[in-house]
Amino acid sequence: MNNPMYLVAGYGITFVAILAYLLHLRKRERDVDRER
Amino acid sequence: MKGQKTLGLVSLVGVGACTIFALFVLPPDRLQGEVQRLLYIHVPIAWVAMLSFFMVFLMSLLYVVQRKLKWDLMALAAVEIGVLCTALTLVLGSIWAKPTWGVWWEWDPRITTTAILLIVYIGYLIVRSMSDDPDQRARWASVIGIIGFVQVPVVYLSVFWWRSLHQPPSSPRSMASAFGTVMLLSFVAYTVAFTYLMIRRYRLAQKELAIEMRGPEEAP
Amino acid sequence: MSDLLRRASAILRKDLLTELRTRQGISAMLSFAALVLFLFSFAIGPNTALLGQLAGGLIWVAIIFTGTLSLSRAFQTEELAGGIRLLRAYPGDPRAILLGKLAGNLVLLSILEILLFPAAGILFQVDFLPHLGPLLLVAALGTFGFSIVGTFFSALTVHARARELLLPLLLFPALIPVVLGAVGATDEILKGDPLGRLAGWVQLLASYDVILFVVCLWIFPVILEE
Repeated sequence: MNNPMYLVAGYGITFVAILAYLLHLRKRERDVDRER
Repeated sequence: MKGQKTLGLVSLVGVGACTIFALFVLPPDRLQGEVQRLLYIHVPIAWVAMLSFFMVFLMSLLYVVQRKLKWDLMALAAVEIGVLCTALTLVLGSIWAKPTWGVWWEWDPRITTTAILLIVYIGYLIVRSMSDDPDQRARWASVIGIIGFVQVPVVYLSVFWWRSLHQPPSSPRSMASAFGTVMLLSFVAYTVAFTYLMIRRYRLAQKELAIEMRGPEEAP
Repeated sequence: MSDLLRRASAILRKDLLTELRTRQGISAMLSFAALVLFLFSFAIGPNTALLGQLAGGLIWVAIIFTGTLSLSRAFQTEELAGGIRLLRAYPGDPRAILLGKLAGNLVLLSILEILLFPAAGILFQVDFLPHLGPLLLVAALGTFGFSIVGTFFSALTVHARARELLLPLLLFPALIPVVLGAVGATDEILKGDPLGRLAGWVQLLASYDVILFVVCLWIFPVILEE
């Protein structure tokens, strides 16, 4: 119950996933801007 | 563009503040101890997921009525955020369920309906990738966006009845005022973050569509 | 209204005539359904008591798998002949196409079920005869729900790449209430409805049918546009 690994895993996975989505968006935004 | 940056900054500060409050400021829960702190991310993320799918439904309806591609692009932006957040909701729920209920998965109506929604909207994204014509794509997608949302209550009810032979999992619902304040703050912060992501994704979709419509022959 | 029904029945008649001329579709469907029943028995083992308990679920999964196969034919035959464009070119409400195809699907599935239920009864040693009335009602509601959503999605996927994969991907999640409702109701009927839960399942199936029928009919013209 009090094992902090559950919290690290939960918050960690969520923020890493959102960060990865943002990086993915930024890559596509740059691709699009280069093509214009 | 400047407004978008500001919104991004506000989302970052808001979500960051909620996380600090949830992890370091609030005392541990009486019954569940430290793991209960997952509530402050699980519930707002689930809220954003449901909000996204509701937006998809609205945008799909608007597309069907007005036939303007901008509604389709907004629906696309919302679906991507919704799929991401639904997947995260399930993962977070699983991580929380293990120490409290002792299992990773429970056939609870809410959990099962969430998992079904995830599959439906992944299907939505796959259907979009199966056509190169923006209008055809938009028509297919809007139809799935509407039916996918309309069926939610029926799916929930059917799983509820299917499950009702078993004891439903219990989760403590009583919350002290400090908890409530942080919860409310999280809802606001994550909704702002959703708005930021949605605007950013929508602008990207607009630009990508413009390039697609221009066609390869005119490319420099 | 009567005009709509007349157009729908013309499409139904055309499809049935095409089917009757070759009988390829229906015989393939029936053999496939029989195979699915055998596969279930092999997977679960020769434990007849267990098979009997699971009969409701097994029958409905067999119906849904077989039905999905026949659905992908419904619009594909049109597509091969360039027929959808022709059908659409006729004046009048395009909803007639959905209604006609839906009726054709209902006829095919009814033939399948008339043979499948007795076959399953023999293989799994379940006696359906004493419960014929309620079973007919549940089968009708479940089949209608499956057919309306199935016809709708097969019209949607007919122009898509990889449609054979896409149709079940869209269809199965949408069918979950039908599966739960039809299996739940069939199980209750076979057990003699000890907890009085049958009415709830029937209501669920009926409301699913009504909601999906209205929504699909309303939105169908959108997917036929060009």
